[in-house]
Amino acid sequence: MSRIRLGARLVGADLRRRSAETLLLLLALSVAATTLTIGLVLHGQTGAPYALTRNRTAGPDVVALLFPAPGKTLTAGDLSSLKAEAARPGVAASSRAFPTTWAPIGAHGVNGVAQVQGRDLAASSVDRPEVIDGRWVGGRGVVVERAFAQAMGVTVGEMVALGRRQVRVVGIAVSAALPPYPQLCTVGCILDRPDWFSAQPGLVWTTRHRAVALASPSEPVVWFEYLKLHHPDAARAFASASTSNGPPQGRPQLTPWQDIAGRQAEQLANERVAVVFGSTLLIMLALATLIVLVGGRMTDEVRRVGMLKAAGATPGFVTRLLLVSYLSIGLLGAALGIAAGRLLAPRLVTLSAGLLGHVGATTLSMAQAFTVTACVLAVVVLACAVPAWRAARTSTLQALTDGGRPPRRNRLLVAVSATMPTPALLGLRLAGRRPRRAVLTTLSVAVAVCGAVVVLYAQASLNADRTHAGGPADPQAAQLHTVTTTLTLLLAVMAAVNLLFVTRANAADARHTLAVARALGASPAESAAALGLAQLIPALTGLVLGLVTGVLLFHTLSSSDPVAPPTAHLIAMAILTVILVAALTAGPARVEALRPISKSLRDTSR
Amino acid sequence: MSPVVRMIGVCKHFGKGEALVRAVDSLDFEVSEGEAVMVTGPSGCGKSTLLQLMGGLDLPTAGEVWVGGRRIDRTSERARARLRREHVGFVFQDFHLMDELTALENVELPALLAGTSTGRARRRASALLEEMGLADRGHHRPAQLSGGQKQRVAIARAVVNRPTVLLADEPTGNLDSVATTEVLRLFDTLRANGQTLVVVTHDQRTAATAERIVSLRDGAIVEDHILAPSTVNAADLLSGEALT
Repeated sequence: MSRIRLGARLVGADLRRRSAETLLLLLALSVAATTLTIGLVLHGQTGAPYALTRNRTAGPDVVALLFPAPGKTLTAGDLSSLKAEAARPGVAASSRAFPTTWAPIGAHGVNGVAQVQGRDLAASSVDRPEVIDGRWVGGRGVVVERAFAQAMGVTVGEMVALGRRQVRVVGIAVSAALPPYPQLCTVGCILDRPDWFSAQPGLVWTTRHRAVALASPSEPVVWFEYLKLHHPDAARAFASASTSNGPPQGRPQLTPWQDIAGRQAEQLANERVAVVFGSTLLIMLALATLIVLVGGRMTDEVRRVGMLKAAGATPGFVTRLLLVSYLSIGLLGAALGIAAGRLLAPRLVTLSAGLLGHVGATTLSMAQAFTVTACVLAVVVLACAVPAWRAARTSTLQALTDGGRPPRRNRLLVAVSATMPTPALLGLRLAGRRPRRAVLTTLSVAVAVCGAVVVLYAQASLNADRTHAGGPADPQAAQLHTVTTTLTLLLAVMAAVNLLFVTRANAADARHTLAVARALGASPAESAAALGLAQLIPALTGLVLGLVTGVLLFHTLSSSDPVAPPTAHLIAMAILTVILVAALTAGPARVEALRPISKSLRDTSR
Repeated sequence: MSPVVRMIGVCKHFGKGEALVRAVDSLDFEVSEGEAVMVTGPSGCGKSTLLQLMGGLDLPTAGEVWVGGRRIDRTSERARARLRREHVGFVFQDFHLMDELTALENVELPALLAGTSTGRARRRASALLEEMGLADRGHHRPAQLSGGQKQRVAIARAVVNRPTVLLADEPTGNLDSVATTEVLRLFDTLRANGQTLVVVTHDQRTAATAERIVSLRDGAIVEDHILAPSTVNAADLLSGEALT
């Protein structure tokens, strides 16, 4: 018991002694845990909102859509095929067939395309859209699907131009029968006007009479009918049985509810992919930060271990002490990350307005919380286990007298640098002294740049889609834009934290070399430039590596043809990275270079 | 002979109020060209601080410091760096060799910093190592050398740019008697070749080998002896041969 108390006291004292480093490390681990938590929260959410909406609005199991043959219009006789579907075995209930067409819609200067569906005043047995505001379709006015209403910026009571007439919005509603804006068309649309080629329509409900009146030869009336099955899970088999003989000619196209749910989930799935990708990069950065931090502290730690061992501590006790010291930061970081992730998930990621419910913080299960904690602790163990074991194995005498691991010698770098000016001569040799740290700097910058490149590509693709589509803003794209921008900022912050750690560790490590070099005639400016260069060389390598990896990664992951961001954006990002690295390095390098030589030599005497 | 080093009313104080330490206090001091001066005194008397002020590693609180005819206490760190490069060679008690460089690379470093071509720097370093009796140790790293060998490498590094003055801070402080003999023999050779030397030591036997001994106490010079030229060289004195 007394040993545990002693251990706790030593760990507490160590963390307090290095409060700034502890806080930065806590920040790195918390940010990684936060994004991982958000990713897991989203993972549990993709199907839930649609299920809730479907349940509350008596959503159909199968959507039957009857198109006219090209250049023709449907007659009353054609509707018999819809009736035949409703009469098939397995169908428990069906709605009436609803006439639907497409018409231009405009409000507040925003122009779009509406998919106008004619409905009855009475509630349907299948698909009863839930009215969120106002009232259901009456003699006058229209009801607008909520996601579309938000994109158009219209509210109940306002007038919109629909076709050639001004109509009042009498209600805002949500339905599970069709995917909400902007994915409505994935079930089926006729958009034959040249300027509508890539338009994203939104759903508007009105009376049957008005819907039919809006039809034109280019946008004829199509008919929707919604079916409820005895066994909803058999919807996919029901739909495919009808189309197993090829495409429907004169017969309705059937879409099972699972397909619609899949479309609904796409938005969250995209965001989840972005968050999981981002959290993976952030965890890699946290690992690099931790390795640099532990490596940088080892000189001090080894001496501390020597003192502990001299006082009678066993190697096992010392190893446990070092591990517990870092694991306690890891545990706190995981706890903070989980709390922040639960808090931020509903704010950062809102569901489509076309669905009921919201991203709930309470949906994070114990297993998911455990996963986040396990990931963070695994990162800590991965970074600390070897140094802790090595420190514990170092002989007491060596630990008390030695100053950490000796620097590496790179014969080629020494030879090449001999022909260079003083800053390059010293800088290259400094970079070569700690190759592992240089590799970590390269990887940190590469990870951050890679993330930024992927985000630039993703945003370029989103912008291209939006430009191509025209019409009201795409809320999904806007949200994905927010998520990816936030992730980029987090990556930049984490990479900056990492660079600060590396610069500090490099500056401390280079203190002796630079003091000797200055005693031999190197000026402070040359010394500062050397230290900066030692940092900049691996960072520039990381920049190039990140650019190439990011482009390759996006081309690999992208399902469609990727749209390249403007070259100016990539160049700006590269310049910004160099400026950031230079700025982060310049301060510590300048401070180190101006340190009194006699003091540095005294402090680093071996 | 003209003074190579000249210090006028030099003070170096650390701390403030009751914690004020007068490491060097109103000190006047000159070293002539080709002179070999041993600065002695007890620990904490200001010997090392004096040497650091001479070499421009530190600045005085007051007074003037002149090296090679230039006043250095009012110059920038950059100018002092140039002065160290061209006029001053340092030898430290802890050697301060770079661990990742070989003996040869350590010796050629100041020459490279001074802009000497790679080939010339390498030839000069090799020649010096040969003079120091370390021709076969040129490609060894400091960790593979004995204390005496490390100090000989450090001395070679200090003279590679042919400095006006060589400043050595307790050069034998970390060495056994055999290595001390080796190092003092080297200083004898340098002195014989006209190298100006200022060596700080608290070892009275080492001090006894000089032509001039300056004793310091509480940051001030208490004795400044110019000894009669001796036919006994330092190494013989230390090895006991002079006594037989």
